[in-house]
Amino acid sequence: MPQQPDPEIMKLLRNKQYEQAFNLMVKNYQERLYWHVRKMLYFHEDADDALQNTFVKVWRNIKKFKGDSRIYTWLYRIATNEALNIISQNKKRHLSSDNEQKSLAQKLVSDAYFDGDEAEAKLIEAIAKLPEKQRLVFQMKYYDNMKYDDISEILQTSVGALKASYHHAVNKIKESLIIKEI
Amino acid sequence: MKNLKLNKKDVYRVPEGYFEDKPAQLLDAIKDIKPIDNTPTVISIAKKVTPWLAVAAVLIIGLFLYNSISVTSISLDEIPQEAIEEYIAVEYSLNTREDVLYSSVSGQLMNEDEEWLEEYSEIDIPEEYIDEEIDYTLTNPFAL
Repeated sequence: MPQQPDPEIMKLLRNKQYEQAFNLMVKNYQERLYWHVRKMLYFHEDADDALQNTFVKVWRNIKKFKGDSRIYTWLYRIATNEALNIISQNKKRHLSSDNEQKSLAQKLVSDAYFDGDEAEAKLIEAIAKLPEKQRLVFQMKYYDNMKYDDISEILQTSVGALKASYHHAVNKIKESLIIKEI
Repeated sequence: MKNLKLNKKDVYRVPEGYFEDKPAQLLDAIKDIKPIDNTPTVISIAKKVTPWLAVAAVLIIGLFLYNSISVTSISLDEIPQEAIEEYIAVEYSLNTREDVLYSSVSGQLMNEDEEWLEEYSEIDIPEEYIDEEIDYTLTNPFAL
């Protein structure tokens, strides 16, 4: 995914034109951030909540941003945390719920904003079973085509650890899908 | 065994016009929120020191009050005789003549009628009249 330079946003921030800087951030990054959290959360409603929370947090902390990291990675970090918060809330809700638990694949197939078939739903389900960080690495690398250096900056993990994590994730997904087909 | 490919096909979609409407929604969401100000708060030295001054003042006043309320001991010589006699009469209801009292401190006879006492102070009681079962402390409350 090509990185867009942020000199215009940085200039606005330096001049304390916070509203204009915020508008430009939304315009430049809302889609990328949305798809990033959508792949973590699977469903449009959850992704929409995460995106909203992300930009509210960005606005609240806009004066604190000193430019020591790129805007892109700052936004991604906030968005990732907001998505993880929603995942955590959903887990608690499911644990306390008495309703019969549908599998993720079943829920996706019946979701209005899912265009894939059953096989693709199962692939997503296999990815969802990965440990949290491994899943993040896989999604950012495989779906978003991000460079390891960028992922390292967002997740605060070394490049070596990320490569190992991605390799393990791919193997686990393949095993999971192959076992299902037996 | 079916070998599934990891397909990169985009399987997700969004509602119509979602990204076009989103900026306006976000601006509406943040309109009542103020960004956190990054300027450091200056706290004057007076504000920092005032609470400690208040604590010190309370301690000093407390010590002053404590010293002024302290209990002073009074010697028996300072207590009026009438007060002592009255106390003994109440605490030791002995049916003795009120005017026959002995001071354990001074050893002096305290009643007014000293002649009467002198008359009886040297009485030798015959042995046959001494009843060993009599509690002589009743006549002399200060007898040990």
